Amino acid sequence: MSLSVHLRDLSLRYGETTALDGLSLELAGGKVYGLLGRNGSGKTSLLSVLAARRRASAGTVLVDGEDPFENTRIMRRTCFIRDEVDAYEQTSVRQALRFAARLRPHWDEDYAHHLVDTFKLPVKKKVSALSRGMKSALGITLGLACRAPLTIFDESYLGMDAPSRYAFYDELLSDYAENPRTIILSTHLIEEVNSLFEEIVILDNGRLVLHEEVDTLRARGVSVTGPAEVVDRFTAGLTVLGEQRLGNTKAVTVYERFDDARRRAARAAGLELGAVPVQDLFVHLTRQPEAQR
Amino acid sequence: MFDDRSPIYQQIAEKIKEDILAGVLQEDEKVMSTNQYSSFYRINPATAAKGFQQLLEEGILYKKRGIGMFVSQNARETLRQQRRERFFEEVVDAMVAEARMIGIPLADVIRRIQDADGGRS
Amino acid sequence: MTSHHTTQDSPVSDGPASDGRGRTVAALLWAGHLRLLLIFWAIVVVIFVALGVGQAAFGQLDRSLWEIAGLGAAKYFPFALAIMITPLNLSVYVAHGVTRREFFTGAALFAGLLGLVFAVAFTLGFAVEHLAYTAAGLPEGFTGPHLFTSGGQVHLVLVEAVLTFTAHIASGWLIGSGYYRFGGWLGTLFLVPALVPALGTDVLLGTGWFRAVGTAVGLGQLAMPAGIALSVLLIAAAVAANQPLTRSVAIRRGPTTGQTQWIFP
Repeated sequence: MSLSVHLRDLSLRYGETTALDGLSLELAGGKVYGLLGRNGSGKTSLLSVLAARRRASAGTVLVDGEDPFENTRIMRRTCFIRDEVDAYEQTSVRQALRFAARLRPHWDEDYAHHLVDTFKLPVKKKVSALSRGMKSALGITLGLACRAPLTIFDESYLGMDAPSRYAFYDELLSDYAENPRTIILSTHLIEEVNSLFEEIVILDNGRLVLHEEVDTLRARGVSVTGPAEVVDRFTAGLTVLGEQRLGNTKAVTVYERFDDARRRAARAAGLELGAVPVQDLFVHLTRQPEAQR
Repeated sequence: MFDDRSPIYQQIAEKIKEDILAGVLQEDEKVMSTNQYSSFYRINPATAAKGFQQLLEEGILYKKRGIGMFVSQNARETLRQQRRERFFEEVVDAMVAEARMIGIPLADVIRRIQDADGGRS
Repeated sequence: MTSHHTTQDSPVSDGPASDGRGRTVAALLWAGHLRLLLIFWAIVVVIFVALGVGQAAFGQLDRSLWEIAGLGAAKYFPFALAIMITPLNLSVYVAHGVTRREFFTGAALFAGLLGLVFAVAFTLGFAVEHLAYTAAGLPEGFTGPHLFTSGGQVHLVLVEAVLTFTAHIASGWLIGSGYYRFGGWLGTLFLVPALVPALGTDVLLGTGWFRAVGTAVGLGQLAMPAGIALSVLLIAAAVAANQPLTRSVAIRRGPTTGQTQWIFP
């Protein structure tokens, strides 16, 4: 049971600010999506609309075929974990979990206990007394144990150290394998998590820059290095994302799928081909979104 | 574990092939499930499944419904054959080019190879 | 507490139906406030008894103490709690998959329950005081005008208490929703209409301090049944007004609680 997402010309404005600007996007149910974008690119705005925290200013939003805003069926199946934990500051961790158990129809109590043990959450402590990382761990526990068919994590790992973050990724993957659902992870830690994703969505300035399978994205970014004029001749007509020059040597990042023939041709021309990490592709793509078109 | 050079699913397929070639995985031996693989290497299960799918299509693995995936009978031999075809182009030609570039006479290279072979037999 | 184990194949239960969800919200709101309410009641009773003992020991006990502790001061406590209903709770509930409409239903049930519990407690207080004073031969000596003339008139005490408390709770809830919806400036302006139920009920019933304002502007006193009926309508209107205010309100960013730590023990 997992929910699909369909957006058409979605816009969201707060007063003068346009947070989302005619965004169209199609997410099939049951996959793990990575949502990337620079600060202020509209990630949280988009997720807030999906989780019915805000109503779209214009356009169509459908989650499992229905408008999620004030929609009982969709809202109880959607869980949005932000960077701030949504629990009462003065309750204990245990009370915060009980609260969620009462309101979440798919809550798994045993799994919640397992997560509490995994993250070593102090159940008797008040939420306000938790460290930043422990607050995040509580949020993640709430997000995973509610088993919502649409589960969203928005930078939910703030303050967590690397071992705790990896524990989160491990739990996410194994629970997703056992209980498939639609998961959207918004993150800045691209290198750390991109292998968790099946597809990546990149936003910039409230618009969609790219929606692609991660593996396709990996294969598409290529850096071409060699004598400037050879590189220029070779990359003419290709989608160039960025270039660097050192003396007569030029390195160009292209967004293009290189088949074996093209690779051989490059090598024959004395050019060096390199891989471009997803993070670098992201940096290039969000620096000049028009390069995508 | 995985580099950025190629799609992860291809790297998964390559890794299993290496294991079969090296004898770590025997013929008719059960391989890890997609989910085990996904958890172990911290990768998306769909990505892992795609790697396994490729091996199924190539006939390297076969599926027993409800039980799992196994190494095919002739998988090792098939892989050895494929590698042999690529060996001269990818290994020998590259070595010769490198030797020329840095000024090692081919005779030295040949002597070295003969020594290695003599040492073994 | 029940746990739900879901697998891919088994049909997933939806939990309680939408109206049951309102009751769940009300029960959770109640549970969240219970400890605070108990502390409050304990303090009120201690002060009441201490005042009584002090008055009796050092002076003449010739007036109702419960009247001062009760309708005079303590109605502002549920009023203050009600102000926080929307700003403190709405975002947490929406984050747990509750619609604004479901939250409204739950909050209305909670507000009603809160008013009723306060009203019953104060009616009991007057009854106890009445019995004690009668036994000791003391005059009840109410200072303010009331629907009742003796703490023994339980039905009249209850009616006045229910209306006074629920009116203050309704005003408080509306004020909080107004601030949440409109923010600082407009929210403050919204105080004016939002206070109408609390003050209007005083005028309509001819009770409480605001009655003097009514008298000053030349309002005559309504007959009791009409005053009660109009008060009920006013309260109902105030409760209902929360619905359009919050129906499509955006949930604010930032930590949900923080500045209001006292409210959820």
